[in-house]
Amino acid sequence: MFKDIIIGQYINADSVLHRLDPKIKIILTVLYVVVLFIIRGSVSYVLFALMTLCLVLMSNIKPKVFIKGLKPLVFIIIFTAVMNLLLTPGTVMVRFWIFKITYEGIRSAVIMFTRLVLLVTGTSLLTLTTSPLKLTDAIETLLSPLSHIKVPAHEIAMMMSIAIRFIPTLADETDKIQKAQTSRGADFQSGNIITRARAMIPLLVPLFISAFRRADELATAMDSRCYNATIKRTKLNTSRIGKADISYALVFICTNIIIIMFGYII
Amino acid sequence: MIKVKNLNYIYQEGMPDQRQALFDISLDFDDGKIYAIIGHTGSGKSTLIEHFNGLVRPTSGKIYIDNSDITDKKTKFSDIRKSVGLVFQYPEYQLFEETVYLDIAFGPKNLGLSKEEIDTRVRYAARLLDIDERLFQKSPFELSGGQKRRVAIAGVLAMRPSVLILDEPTAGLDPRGREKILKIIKNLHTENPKMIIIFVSHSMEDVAKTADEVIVLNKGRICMSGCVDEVFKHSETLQSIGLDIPEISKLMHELSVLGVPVNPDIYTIDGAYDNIKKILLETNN
Amino acid sequence: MLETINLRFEFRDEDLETGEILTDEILHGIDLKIEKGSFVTVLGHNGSGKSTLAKHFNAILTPSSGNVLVGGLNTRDTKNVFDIRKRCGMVFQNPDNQIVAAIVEDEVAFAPENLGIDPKIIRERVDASLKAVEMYDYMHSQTSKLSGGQKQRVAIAGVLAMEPECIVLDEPTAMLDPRGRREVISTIKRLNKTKNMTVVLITHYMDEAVQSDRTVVIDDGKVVLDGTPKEVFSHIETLDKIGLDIPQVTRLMYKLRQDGFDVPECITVDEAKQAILNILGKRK
Repeated sequence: MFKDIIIGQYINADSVLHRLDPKIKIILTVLYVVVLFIIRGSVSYVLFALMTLCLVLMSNIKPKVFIKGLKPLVFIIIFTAVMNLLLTPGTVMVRFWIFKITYEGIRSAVIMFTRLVLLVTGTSLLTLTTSPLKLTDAIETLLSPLSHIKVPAHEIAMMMSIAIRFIPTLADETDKIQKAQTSRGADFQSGNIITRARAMIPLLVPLFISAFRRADELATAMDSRCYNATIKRTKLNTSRIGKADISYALVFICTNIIIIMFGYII
Repeated sequence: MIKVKNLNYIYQEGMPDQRQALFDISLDFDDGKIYAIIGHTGSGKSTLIEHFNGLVRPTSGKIYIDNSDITDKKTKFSDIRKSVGLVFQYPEYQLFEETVYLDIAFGPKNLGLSKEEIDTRVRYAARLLDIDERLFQKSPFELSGGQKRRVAIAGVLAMRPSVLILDEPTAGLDPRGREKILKIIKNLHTENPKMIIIFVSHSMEDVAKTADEVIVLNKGRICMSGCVDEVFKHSETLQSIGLDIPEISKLMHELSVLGVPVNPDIYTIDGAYDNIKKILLETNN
Repeated sequence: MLETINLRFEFRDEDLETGEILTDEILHGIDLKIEKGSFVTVLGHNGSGKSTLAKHFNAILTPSSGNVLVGGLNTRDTKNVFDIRKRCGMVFQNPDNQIVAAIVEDEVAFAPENLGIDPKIIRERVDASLKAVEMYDYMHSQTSKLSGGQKQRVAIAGVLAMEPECIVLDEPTAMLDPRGRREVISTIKRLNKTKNMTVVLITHYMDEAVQSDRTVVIDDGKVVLDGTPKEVFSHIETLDKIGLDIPQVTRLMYKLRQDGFDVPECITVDEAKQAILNILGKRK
């Protein structure tokens, strides 16, 4: 099930969206979500969906990936749509048993459905085209003004990037310990929830102990390389916002303004 | 006894990073012998031994342990694990129980044995691994590195397997710790004359000291196999696949190439001492 | 470059039940002077105190009594800490637990970033350091995908990026396979020869000690032997008593010498070969 969730996954490819500055991408994604919830009228929705489709095509990532990403959310999307369909009061169109379907119900179900699909697709675009590391860097830069009000922006970003760095190491370790305990007769698969939870102890205890040991050694290694030597830490690769990024952002903003306008004009 | 017939293993079959890890491996392991598997990282050593207790299923080929086919889908993992004990690399990282005693007892408990039987086995394994019974109530995390490793090996041995496989049992230990583990392997062999012991190693010197038979793996294929004397004769082949040969082996080989009438197949200090002394005395006369 | 003067270190631990302070002296007065540009190995068992000693050179630990000077700076003075760490970098045993970043170039840039160095200069340093350990082609690789030997070389590059005068390596090869060990040792030797880098290598492998200029044997928190590898390995009985390895050829020559044959002390295969050829040639 976890492998189907595409939010948070990165697909390495080359495209306009991959090259776009991650900071701009985060800001535009927030803008995308806001616009999605303020547009009115079917014309606006159709245009907005078309725009999303264009973005998907521009990302150089197979549309199949996006459809696969929607799968785990199918239930939520359909549930929300059905609730809207059945529970919205208004002009009754069809009536059966205790339910009545109204014109407004159909309308809001369609809107809800469209919104959720677009929301998932749009936000996936950010994570699919930005490597987690660039994302953390961008978050750090975007949060850095907040460090004046004592939000530890750098520390948050450092924690996130170390976590990303250790995912493969700990995944490997989990696999090794699991194999070792299986050879000693541990059974992780059978039994009810309580037996299974208990069976996890031989896996979790060594894993946590090793994680603490690693953390301790890593902290020493970081100290020995002058971590915290200065408040003004520099960066090897500072992504600079270029002309292309600004033009892209402007085109995106204009398109969205036009889409919003359509809702109020027509 | 273990019989491996035409074993092939393809890692991540059908996935983009598919890679064949083992090619057509056929081997026989006889009861009562110590085998060493050597080869460098990525040669397929670990994959091969994980086949022996059912953790990995071969892509094709058969493995028989005491004439029962463990690659058969009907064979239960629990039965295989009873007869084949597998000690992983850095086994001390799998310790988890509150006390040394409980950790050693974990395997036997999973076999569903009686309390008395478990107790007998824990004491038996501890004795063979030279673990003082006074340590039983201590937390395994308070022990030294070498002690932890011995407790972890005892945990596998307490399942009383007829085949014991150890993946690089001396990795990361200092010379004293290494000697101790090798001595224990030798002892195990004397106490259980029928047990098959297989250990994976990088160190040719450890192999020379401990094993009866050697299997050399290179890039997923068997490069050589045979008794220690036989395999060490091919010092050039061993060096060409990136393995370190014992210094004595190197010395005798180089002397022989230069025309000194030494026996180039010698790989132990004592052997070289006798051989060179003889030659020196002869030329003296 | 490095100097310890009557260095003692004790480990303090509080007994949680009684509140009693337990102390355990690990280093019992160590006097060492390590010259600039030398390649010194510190040989000893696990628990001999050799790693504790190494951590003093980087001001991770400070002496309980006595002093440690790094390039003339006393490690006790907290003002000096970052200067000391910049001058004397440290590489640790477990390659996985000292790598901070997911990408090789970010890993090497970590220390200069911490020092607030200009990004342009960091770029130059990262490139030069990766070239020095022959990992330049892996600049954009993921650190988790490297082999053990490659990870340790990246860790060395990470230290080189601080442009230190000295590098202390705490059992960098203990978890590596023979190929990885060879990679790391040849990298260290090259740095010592071509860049005149002072190298202190903590190890329990005697074959690594054989390749250094000077070997210090530590046992039970004390310096037991100190000299060229040849001098040190001539003390076969002392080393046997401690339980450290001795090169096979050294032992062979020792046995022959005890039988009255006129062979010199040897620590490498080449020396032994030459010695045997010489004695045979003389007799003929």
